[in-house]
Amino acid sequence: MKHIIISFSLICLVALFQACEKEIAYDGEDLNNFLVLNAEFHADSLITCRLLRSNTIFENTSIKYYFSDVSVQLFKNGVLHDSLAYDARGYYKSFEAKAEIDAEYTFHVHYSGFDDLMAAAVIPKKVLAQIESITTKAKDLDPSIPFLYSNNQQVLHVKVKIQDAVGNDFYRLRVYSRYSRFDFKTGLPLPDYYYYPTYYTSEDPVLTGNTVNVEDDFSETPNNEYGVFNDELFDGQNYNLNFELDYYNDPENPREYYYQIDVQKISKDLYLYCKTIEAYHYYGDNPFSEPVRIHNNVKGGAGILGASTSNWLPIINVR
Amino acid sequence: MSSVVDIRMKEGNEKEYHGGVQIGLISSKFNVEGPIVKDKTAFIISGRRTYIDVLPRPLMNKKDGTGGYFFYDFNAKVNHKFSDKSRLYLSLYTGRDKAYSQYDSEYNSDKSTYSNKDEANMYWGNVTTAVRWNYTINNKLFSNTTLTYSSYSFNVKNEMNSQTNNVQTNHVYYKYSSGIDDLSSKIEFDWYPNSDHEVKFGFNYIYHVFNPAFETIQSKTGTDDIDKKFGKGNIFAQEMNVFVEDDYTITSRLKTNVGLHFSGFSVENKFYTSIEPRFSMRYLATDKITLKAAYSKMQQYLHLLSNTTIGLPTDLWLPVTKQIKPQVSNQYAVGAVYTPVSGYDLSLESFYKQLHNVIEYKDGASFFGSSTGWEDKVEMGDGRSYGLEAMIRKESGNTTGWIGYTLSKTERYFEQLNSGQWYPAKYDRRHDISVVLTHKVNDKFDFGATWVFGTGSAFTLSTHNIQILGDENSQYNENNESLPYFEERNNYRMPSYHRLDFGMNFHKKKKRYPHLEFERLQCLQSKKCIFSLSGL
Repeated sequence: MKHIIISFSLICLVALFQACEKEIAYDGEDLNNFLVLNAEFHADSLITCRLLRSNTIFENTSIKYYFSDVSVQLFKNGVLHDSLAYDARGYYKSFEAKAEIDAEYTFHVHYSGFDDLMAAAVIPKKVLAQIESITTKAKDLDPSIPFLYSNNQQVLHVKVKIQDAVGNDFYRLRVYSRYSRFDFKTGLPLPDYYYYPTYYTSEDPVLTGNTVNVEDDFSETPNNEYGVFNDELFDGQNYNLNFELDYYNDPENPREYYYQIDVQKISKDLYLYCKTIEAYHYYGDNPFSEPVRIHNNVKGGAGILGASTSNWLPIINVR
Repeated sequence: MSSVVDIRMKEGNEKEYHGGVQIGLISSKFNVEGPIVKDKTAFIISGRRTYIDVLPRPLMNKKDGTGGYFFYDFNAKVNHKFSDKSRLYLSLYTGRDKAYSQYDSEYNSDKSTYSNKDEANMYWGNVTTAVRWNYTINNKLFSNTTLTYSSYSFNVKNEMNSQTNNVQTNHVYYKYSSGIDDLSSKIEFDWYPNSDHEVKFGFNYIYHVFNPAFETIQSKTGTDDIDKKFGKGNIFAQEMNVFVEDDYTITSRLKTNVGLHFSGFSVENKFYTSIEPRFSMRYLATDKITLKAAYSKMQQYLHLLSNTTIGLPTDLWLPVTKQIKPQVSNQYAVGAVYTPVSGYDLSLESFYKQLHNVIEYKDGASFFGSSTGWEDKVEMGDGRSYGLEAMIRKESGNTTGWIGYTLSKTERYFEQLNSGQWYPAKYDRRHDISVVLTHKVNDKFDFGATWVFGTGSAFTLSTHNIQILGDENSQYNENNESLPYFEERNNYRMPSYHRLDFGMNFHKKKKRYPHLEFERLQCLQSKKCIFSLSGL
């Protein structure tokens, strides 16, 4: 609500000064486009990246420029490892190279008419983590708001123990639900599953930006949509990370539900990148906010080369 | 970070009444002075107001929206002479800037009358009062004792009301305020032990009450009934300063000013101290060439927090706290003055200034939102400023004036901002030129012209859009999403500011009325001060 009020006030203030507004022609240096490289190396996964061209503020930003003949060389620990081949829509892929933990990978990108790009990332070690506890309880509901299934709304409280190493470390928490695939003809379940991202909530300080969120309605910080955090509060120690998953209970037909908790160790660049993207999403419509600079670790252009390593922790919930 | 600026109000004439009115196109001012008790007590009053908000008002109506901006200031001073050794001065200054808008609408539907009224205001200003007692202890020692109260406030207010058949249905009120109240006492002594020394020393105590940020939000609509107040509350602080300085004439060619300043600042159970040496010298190398050098260290317990996306004065003055350290500067300057013939001089000076513990908003932060403490919205870092100043001045004859040029660079460095790279400060002004000329035709008429030029202030402009990394777990899971991108903070400049003013003064003294001065000031050429309201 506060944001609505403040946003409305800001709109009025902007309107207030619109009478003084004057369009100014751009009078800066010529704007040259550059290549944008985006990639996230995930341990044990095939290496892929996306290359596009930037758009200047004078161009239609909805038009994407892909190039299919860019030289994208991948170096592993300083030695040429592979050349990535063009796939589609700007994606370049390696059909053999999988990211290995502790290895440093460097991209060298060359394309005529643009500055060469260079970006590097080290694949982080797997974090030591384990499920410490799982508890269920009925969801606290606002009695003034009637809801059809309110009696069956439950909360799964998960506590994950993270063993942090000494030094600056960065993490990302993701949760996936397991779903069965079904044969369309027979309607019977297939032997394989698919996992779909599941939203979770948390008031854990490390997930709320090392702050205690007192009033959700009046929160003024982003909600950590990417689930990234650092070890500022528990450097070199064990930490119990708490979060909750909402679900609907079906007491008449109880069965097992499977989740995969993905505790990832991520590179610092990827952490900063996620934070700045989120900050942009959150503050971007406030004309009084400081501009947010999207984190960039690609020399010669822009973008991100991030790295992550998962530690999958399965849990089963009977509902 | 400020330097020491000593501003004193003019004293009223103890012998006769004088007055002046200056009428301009967008502002007018007046001043009146004279004796209350002849040769003992005198007063002076002056005031000024702009009326650029009033002039277009007939062309506006409330349905389409009205708005405007004005400022005023008012000065008053009374000086009383108890004896040749003892004088008392009472002074008052108040000034305010205000920008406002109002939208009214009314319509009928289904036999009901609906009306809306929206008002938005942004205003800021100062009030300062002072009592000063000047006392001559003996012919070598003089004292000034001053008690001061000052108040500064910055406010943003927005109120919206909706009515149906004259019954209020919605009311939304938002107010942001920030300010400082100071109570100060100061005693200063001027001591002339001999002809070679002019010693000043003194003590100053200030009780500060800071209100860094306070927000009120009220909303009464069909679904909400909110009445919230946000803000850390007032911060109380005490500041003490002791200083001594000596203007020492070592030889007829060499003169120095050596000073030492000690300050202490107590806030939130934390006590900051500082010893600040200051030194300057002037050496007459020849009859025509003077060499100068200066060094000063300063510590300031106030921070200026500016927004880099807007040129409106949303600058906030914030205190040092337990978390936010005082800002410190070291300034070095060397220069030379050349006087080819009497009445003319040419000067060249260079300076270098280091700044520590300056503050700047974090990415995304703004002055709105007091439920997040302002200390959590800022980063602390360093700054530097360096440049060259050149001036040619003519001080005698019927035509006087100067031409001044400054080439400078001011930058900021924050580990957490701009990828830890130096970038231009908002107030970085690469070129600054001023040309001032006045010609006195006779005792009744003079005219003059002033031309100023300054590089536009720096601000951040996103110059490109870039594709972002897709994230399968994000609600913004769009592999085709692109966002605005800029390579560094303050990467773009507002257009340069330049302005040429021409003025004529007619002086007429009437026997039975106060002295009247008419000024016609015409702005011949200007580029407006431009502010920006831009998204990220």
